[in-house]
Amino acid sequence: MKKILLRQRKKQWDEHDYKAPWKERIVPWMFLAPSLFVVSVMVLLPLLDAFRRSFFFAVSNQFVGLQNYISVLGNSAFKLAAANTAKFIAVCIPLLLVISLAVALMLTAFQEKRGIFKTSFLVPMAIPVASIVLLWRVIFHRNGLLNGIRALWDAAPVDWIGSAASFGVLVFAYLWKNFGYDMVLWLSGISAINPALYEAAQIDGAGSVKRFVKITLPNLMPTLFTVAVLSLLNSFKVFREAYLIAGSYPDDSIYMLQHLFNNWFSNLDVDKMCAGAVMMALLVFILIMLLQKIMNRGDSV
Amino acid sequence: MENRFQASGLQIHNVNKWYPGDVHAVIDMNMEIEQGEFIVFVGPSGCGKTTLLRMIAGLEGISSGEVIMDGRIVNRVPPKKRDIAMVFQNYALYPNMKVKDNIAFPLKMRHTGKQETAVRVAEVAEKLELNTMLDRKPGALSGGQRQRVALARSMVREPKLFLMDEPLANLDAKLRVEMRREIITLQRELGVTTIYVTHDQIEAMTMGTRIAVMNGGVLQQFGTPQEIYQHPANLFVAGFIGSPNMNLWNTEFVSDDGRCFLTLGDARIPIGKSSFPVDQLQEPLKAGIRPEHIELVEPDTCGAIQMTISILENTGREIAIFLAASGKPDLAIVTDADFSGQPGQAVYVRLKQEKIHIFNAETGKALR
Repeated sequence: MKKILLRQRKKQWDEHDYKAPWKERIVPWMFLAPSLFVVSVMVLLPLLDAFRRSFFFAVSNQFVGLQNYISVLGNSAFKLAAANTAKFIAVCIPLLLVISLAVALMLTAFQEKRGIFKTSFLVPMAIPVASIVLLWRVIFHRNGLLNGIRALWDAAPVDWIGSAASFGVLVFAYLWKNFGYDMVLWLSGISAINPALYEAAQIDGAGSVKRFVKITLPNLMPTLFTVAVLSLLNSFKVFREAYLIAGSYPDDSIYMLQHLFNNWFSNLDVDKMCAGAVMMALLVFILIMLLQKIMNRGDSV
Repeated sequence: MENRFQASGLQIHNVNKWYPGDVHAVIDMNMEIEQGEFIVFVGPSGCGKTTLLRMIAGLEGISSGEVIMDGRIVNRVPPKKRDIAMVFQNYALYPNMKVKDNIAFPLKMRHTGKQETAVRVAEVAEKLELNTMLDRKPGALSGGQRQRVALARSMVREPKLFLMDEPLANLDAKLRVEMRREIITLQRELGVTTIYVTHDQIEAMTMGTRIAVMNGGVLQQFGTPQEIYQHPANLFVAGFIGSPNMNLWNTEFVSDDGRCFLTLGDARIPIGKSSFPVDQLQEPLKAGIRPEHIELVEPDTCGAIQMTISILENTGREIAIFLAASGKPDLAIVTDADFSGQPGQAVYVRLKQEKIHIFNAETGKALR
C-alpha cells in the first residue's frame, strides 16, 4: 500500500519535473534514522535471520531447503497448536468485536458519567498479566471461587484449568483484557459520525434500528478494520495468560502455537521454530491484506 | 407539473426554549403561518432562529408553549411522524450511499414500492439536474451538487412542511444566487409551506413571502419584506435589514414658532408635525433614514447640509458615499455610479423628511 503510494508520488514528481535539493531530501531520512536503526537491529535483522535459519539444520548448519517446513507441517503438535490458535481466533474476534461495539453503543447513549465507565473498562489494560493471572487462578482453580459458588447449588466441581473448559477460561481472559481497548476505538469511530446524519434520518422517517443499520454500521467500516486487525494481533498475545495459568504443557484445548514455539525454543529446535515463525508471520500478513481488501471493497460499493 | 403536495398551516404559540444553565434561547415566540407561505427566519448568530426551526422539526424539545400543525399539537410527536422534510446546513448526506439511494432514503423508510420509488427519484433528479450523478457518492460531488442532492432528498416525498437551515451558507456567492432562485422557483411550483433560516438579509428579503426578524430569542418583527424594509418595528430591525445600514442618530424634537424640526447634530431638519404622536416626543429619541433617501443637492437648495466625503464604495451599479462633518453624525448615502466626487470633497445633502423614521431611544420602538 505504502509502496504504491510512494510510487504514485514519485510519478507525480517526475511529471512535474521537480527534484528537491539533496539537503531537503535528506531531512526525512534524518528524522527516520533513529527509529529505523532500532527497528532494523531489533526486528528486521532477526526476522531475516529467522528466515535464513528456516532453510538450515540448526545443528550442522547445513542447507536443507524446505525440509524444516515439511517436518513442521507433519508435526502433530504443530497441527494441534495451529488448530487451537485458529479456533481461538475464530471464536474470540467476532465475540470481542460484537461485545465491545455493544458496550460502546450503550456508552454513547449515556450522556453523563460516560467518562467513569470508559475509564473503568480500560483498567484491565493497565493491570499486568502476571498479577491478574493470580486472580484467574483463584477463581478458576479446582477448589477455587467459581467452583465454590457452584457448590452452593450442589453442582459438581469442574476442573476449569486442567480440562477442555480451559479454552473457555482463556477466551474469557482475552475478552476481559481487550474489550476496553476495542470499545474505546469503537467510541472514537462512533463520535466521528456526523450527528446531523442521525437527525436527517430521523426526519426522513428512520427508526432507531434503521438508523443503526443504515448509518452507524456503514460509517463504522473503517473503524471495524482497525479494531479487527488490532484484535487479531492482540489475540496472539494471549499466550501470556495461557502460559501463566497452565504452564508449558497445558490442556490440549489451549495448546497454542506460542506454546509450541516456546517448547521448541527450550529444546533448541531453532530450525523448526524459525520455519513455523515464518509461516505464521506470512499467514498474519495475508490475513491482514485480506481484511483490507474486503474492507476496501465494502467501501467502494 | 401538477401540484401533488398537501399544503399545511403552522401555528407557534408562546413557545419557549430553556437550555441547562438558564439559557433562554427562544422567548415567548408567536407566529401564524399560512399554507404555502415561504417564511424566512433571519437574525444574527445565536438569535434562536435555528433552535426554533429545530423545535418545529421535533429535533429539539419544546420547554413551554405549543407548536400546532394542521390543528394538531405536535410537541410530543417524533420528527418522523411530523411529515416534514429538512435541508441541513452541511447537507447531512449519507456518505455511504449513492446519490440515488440518498434521494430514495425517505421513500424507503416509508416502505414505498420499488417501482414508485424509482419513478419518483428519476422525476426529482430530472428536475434538479442530477441525472448524470445518480451513481456517484456524495464525497465525489461539489458543494453545489451536494446541495442539490439534499434538496432532492427533501422533495422526493410529499411533506407538509419544508425546513431549511441555512442551506446556502456553504456555497460561493455566485452559486448562492443561482440556488436561491432555484429554491424559490421550486417552492412556488410545489406550493409547500417552507421555513427557511438564514443570517443573510439579502436572502431573507429576496426569498421570503414573510420574514421573521429575531434577536436574542425574541421575535422583533414578522411581516412582508416591504413592511420590514419600509416600516421597521424597532431599532434592531431598522439596523439589521438594509445595506448599507440605515443611518441612525440621537435626535431631539424641536418646536419653534409653530414649525417643527428634528436635530441632526447641530443642524435642524424641518419636519411636518401632523404625523407624530407629539406626546411621545419628549423622551430620548433616535432618528433613522435609509441611505437612498438622502439626496445630493446644489449648495443653495433649501435645507441643504454641508458634509465631507470620507469613503467611497463603488459597486459598479451604484456608489455608497460615507459622509462626515463636525458637529453632525456620520451619514451613508447611495447614489448613481456616475458620481465623480473624491474623498475630502465637500458635498451638500438633503434628507427626504417624509422618509425619516423616529424611534424611542430607550425601548427601541418605532414611533413613526
